[in-house]
Parts: sequence; structure tokens; C-alpha cells
Amino acid sequence: MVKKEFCCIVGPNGGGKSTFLQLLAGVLPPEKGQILLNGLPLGTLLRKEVAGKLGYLPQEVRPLYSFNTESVVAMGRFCVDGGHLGASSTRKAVFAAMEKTRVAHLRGRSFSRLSGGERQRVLLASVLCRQPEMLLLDEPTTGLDPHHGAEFFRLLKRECRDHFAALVVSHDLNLAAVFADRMVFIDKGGILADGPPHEVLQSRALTDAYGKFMRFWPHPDNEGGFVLLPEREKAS
Amino acid sequence: MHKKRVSHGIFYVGLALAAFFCLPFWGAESTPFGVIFQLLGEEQNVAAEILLHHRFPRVLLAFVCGMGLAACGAALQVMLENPLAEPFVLGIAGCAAVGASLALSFSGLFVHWGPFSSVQLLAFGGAMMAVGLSLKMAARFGGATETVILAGVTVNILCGALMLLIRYSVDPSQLVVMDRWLMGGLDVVGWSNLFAMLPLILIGSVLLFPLGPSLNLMALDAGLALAHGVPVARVRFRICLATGLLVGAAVAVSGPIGFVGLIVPQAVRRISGPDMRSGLVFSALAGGVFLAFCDMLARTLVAPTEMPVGILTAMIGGPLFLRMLWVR
Repeated sequence: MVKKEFCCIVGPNGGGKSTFLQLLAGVLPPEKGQILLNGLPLGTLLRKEVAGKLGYLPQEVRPLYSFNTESVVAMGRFCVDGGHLGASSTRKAVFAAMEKTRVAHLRGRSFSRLSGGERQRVLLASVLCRQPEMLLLDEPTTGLDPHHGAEFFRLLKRECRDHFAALVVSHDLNLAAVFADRMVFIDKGGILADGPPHEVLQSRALTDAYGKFMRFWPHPDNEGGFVLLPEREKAS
Repeated sequence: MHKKRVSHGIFYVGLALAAFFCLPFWGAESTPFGVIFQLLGEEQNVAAEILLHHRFPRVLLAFVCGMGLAACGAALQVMLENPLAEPFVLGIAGCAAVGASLALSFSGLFVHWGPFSSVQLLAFGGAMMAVGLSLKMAARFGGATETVILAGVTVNILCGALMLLIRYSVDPSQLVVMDRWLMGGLDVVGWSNLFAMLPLILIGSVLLFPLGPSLNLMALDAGLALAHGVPVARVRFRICLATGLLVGAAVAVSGPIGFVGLIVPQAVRRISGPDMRSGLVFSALAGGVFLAFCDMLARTLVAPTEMPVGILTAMIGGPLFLRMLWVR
């Protein structure tokens, strides 16, 4: 991974994207081999040390109790200072992160009552507030309306340019193609294509995986790139 | 936020202090407050003796047991991601009781060193087995909270059968003592029981109470907690160990007392919010007060005799538990 690069992992369902991300985050122990973080195997590091470097968000968060949003964001700083709003430094970091992801207005609201997009932005704030070197996000735009998904990616891209690298698993090829610096295509447990989005989208592996009813068309704004859209049924 | 926590803290501590100072004066015969001054004086007095050697240790014992049960309940509910989890319902108290009664009934298993005995050790062992089982069940069935409860019910039935087996094989003259103990009684005399459970309670508390921040994250989502840097497996192990110690200690002295670990954390969560850092301590304080209060009722409701407090907590807790199942 290159620093400050925005990389999207794409691929069909069941291809191993999420598993790959979980392995990288150290949430899932590898069956064989090891994952290195700055040259050290993940398994030998404390969870706190790993969390300080990597900001991983799972695909789904199911809260047991209803915490309010700023507590949820503060919990992201567990590895730094225990993750509660007591200290003023924590409060400052938390509110700054909430400002960045535009959820400051949700302060005091219960996390479990938020909409999908709001939840994702609150969770993003919770990893941002500990300033990790790399973000690992698993399907952050699942279940979001298209414009919320685009907003989320735009936000991520902007933050990424300034502060950290991001590795985002997404099944939305179009979003990934527009925002990513680099695209990795994973299917059947292996990396089948890797490179800038326009190259990956034209690769053999992708057309094999998606090509039956879908086609890659040039992006309609004529500034390069491709979009994936279904082919119309031809009148015979 | 912070202010709210402080004011709630003062409320619970005040409640606990009030319990310590008021509850000992109620009993089969209520003791006038003036007796407390005679404790300081030279002259011996029956009422003062009762207060010092019966009532105070008893209230303290009830407090410590209630504290352990409620704090464990609060932690177990988060660990198993199950708001209905509780040491009694999950069969943890039942298993501890089997261990304890094994030691009580068979002289071959009864070893004692001063106030400490194999009763506590076997109760701890039994509790650990049951906690381990619930954790395994929760890991296997994940979201299906009722399945874990069902497993606990089964463990309880099994423990009931084992208890019957033990009762069948012991000397009939011991049955009355055992029965009273099984109903959950706190009728102790003197301070030795308290002293005996102190090490277990202390170690259990040291293991359990610092886990608040980790439990907060686990209450949000266990997977996310791991990603945020909580060593989830180690936290779970510590909770299991602490539960074994605290519940084992309580059961060894008082028999299985049910539903304290369920009602109290739920009530505290409703009053003071879901934050587990304060929630663990608040639950512990409130649990202590609750059990001490129930024990006071058990002493006074049917005076001049008294009833085992376990009956009382079950009669309050059972219907509440059913209601929770109903509204889920």
C-alpha cells in the first residue's frame, strides 16, 4: 500500500473481499501464513497497537445498548485513552472528527436510531478521531441511497488525500471507479487484477466475472473512465 | 454527561450508606437506634450483641453477595450480548450450588483451612464450568439469545437432578440444613463467613471492575470492539473468572439467590444509561442495597421466624423476567 492512496477492493459476492480485509485488520486470524504490519506479524502485536495503526470498520454494527453518537465516536479512541469523553483532549478530537464527517448535528442522538448513512458517518468519525495510518472499511456504502454513497466516498477521498491510506471493500464498481486511485479485483480467493481503475475495468477478469448481462461503457462525462451498466434486451 | 454521572454516583453511594446504617436495626425484633451508643460503651447488652454479631455481618454479607451477583449480571449481559443473561438463569449459580453441596454433604470432599473451605473451591469450580458452557453456547448461537437461556434452563434442570441425587445419598439429618441453604438464606452468625469470602470477592472485583471501558465497546459491537483495540477474548476470560469467583463466593455462603443479577443491572441501565464504566459500579452498589433490603424484608415479614431471601428475590424477579420475555 502506498501512503495516502485510496484503494478499492472490488469483486463479486463470496469472492473473499471481506475475508481479505478481516485478515488484514487482524480481526480474523489467518489459517496459515502471517500478516505483517510495518514488518511485524499482526498476531504478536497487542490489539491496542494494531488499532492505533489500522482503523477497521466491519460491515455491520449491531449495538446491544443505545449509546449516544458522541460516546460511540469516543469509543474509537479506546486504544489511545480508554475511549470516553472525560478528558478535554478526547472531546476535542471527537468533535473535530464529527465535524469532518458532518455528523456534529447528531450529537446527543441515540446511535441505534440513526439512518444507515448517518451511522456510517458516525462510525467513520470514530476511526478518524484516533488518526490511524490506514483505514480498512468493509462495504461502507451497503444499503445507502446512491447519493449518500457518493457523498461518503467523496468525504473519504478528501480525508484520504490529507491524512492516511484507505482500503475500501465495495461491490459498487461505479463508485469505486470514480473515486479510487487504485483498484484491486478479488474473486475466488485470489487477486485477479490490480491497477488504476480504468485498466482494471477493462481487464479480462472483470469482463469474465460481470460480462454476461452487463457492459462497461465510457463514462458519459467524456473525461475518461468507465461505468458498469446492464445491457438492454435487444428487440429481435 | 459527566455531571449526570457524578450525581447518580452520589445517589447510589448514599443509598448504600443508608442501607448500612438503617437496615441492621430491623429484624425479628427491631432494635432501637440508641443501642448504637451502647456498642461504644463498656456495658454488655443483648440488643447491642445482636446488632454487632448478627445484624451488621448479615447486612454486609447480603450487600457483598448482591454486589457480586449484580455486577456479574451486568457484565454477563454484555459478554453474551443477551439482556436476559444472569448467573441464576444461566445455571451458573445452580452449578456452583452443586459444587458447594458436594463439599457440604460428603465429608471426603470437605477440607477446611481456618474460615476457608473446599465449599468455596467446589462452588467456584461449578460456576466456572457453567460460565464456560454459556460462553460456548453464545459463541455458537450468536444472536439467538433464547437458545442460550434455554441451555441455562437445561443446566438448571440437570443441577436440580444432581442436587436430588446428593440429597438422596446424604444423611437425612442433614437435609434440613441443606434445604435451608438451597432456598438462599443469609442467616449467618458472626463475621467468619464474611472473612472467608473476602479473598474471592476481592480478586473477582479486581478482575471485573476495571473492564468498564472494554465492556462499553463490546456493548456497541464485539467485532467493532476488537477492531478498536479491545482484546475481546481476554476480556471474556476475565469476566468468566470473575463471575466464577464472585458467584461461587456468594453461593457457597448463601445458596443460589436468583434474579438479583437480572433486575438490578436492567434497572440501573434504565435510570443511569448504558455506560458500563459507571454501570458496573452502580449495578454493584444497587445490587448490594437491593439484596440487603430483600433480606431485611425476609427477616421482618414473617417475624418471629424468617424466610430465606432466595424465595423473596425469586418472587420479585420471576414475574419481571417473564415480563421481559413477553415484551421482547
